[in-house]
Amino acid sequence: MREILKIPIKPEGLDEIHQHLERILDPVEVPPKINFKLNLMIEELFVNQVEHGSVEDDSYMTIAIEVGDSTIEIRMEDSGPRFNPLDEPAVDTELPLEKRCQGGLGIHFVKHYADTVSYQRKNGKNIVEITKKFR
Amino acid sequence: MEISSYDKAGQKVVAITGRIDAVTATELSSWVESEVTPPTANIIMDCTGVDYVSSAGLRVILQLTKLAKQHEYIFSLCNPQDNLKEVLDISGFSSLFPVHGSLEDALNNDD
Repeated sequence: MREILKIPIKPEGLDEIHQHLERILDPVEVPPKINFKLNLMIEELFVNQVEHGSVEDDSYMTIAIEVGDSTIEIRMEDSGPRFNPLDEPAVDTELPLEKRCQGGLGIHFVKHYADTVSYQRKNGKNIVEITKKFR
Repeated sequence: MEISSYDKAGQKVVAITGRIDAVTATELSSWVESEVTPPTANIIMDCTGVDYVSSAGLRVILQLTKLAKQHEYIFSLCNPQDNLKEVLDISGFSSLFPVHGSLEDALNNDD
């Protein structure tokens, strides 16, 4: 099963994403823990693009979700300027409170939870692909 | 997401229900600025009803932790569900403030 979503790259797009994911993932009985991780990873990558993409007002992200027998593949594409979220500096999770800053945690979660994650720049598009086993 | 807060045993309990995602985290952050800044007591975030938290939600938790500390109060969090507990561990946040299994423990500051 393959679904392709077209989501405006603005904060309001997030609700649409979560609603679509509920609709797509519930019937295939994705365990709640995996469901949470998929929602989290997609949110983090989407929000990164909202914050860093400096894209046009009417731009959108294409999110293709393919549910296989045991693995879910997600491909997120946008036409914004080159931005590789995986290049963001790693978060030092052992820093004390005073030195903790706000950024980078989202990608930290994506790298932690995805089975595979990759970035490519192709035909003027940023393409991030993640896979996650769900059974 | 819904926020309710009340005073109990001289401490401020902030109970949150629902999702803390990038959109609702903005609302929560504004609420923190208008309702608990500056804090006048320890702050306990009751996460019993929280079923989803992303990094944007953690940023507000960090904001609360720093705010409490600046004013020499303690921020703690209680009753996180499994997903939240895991996210707190992966981010290293579990070592930044006390995480309690129940509101009673948080009020007594017990482990």
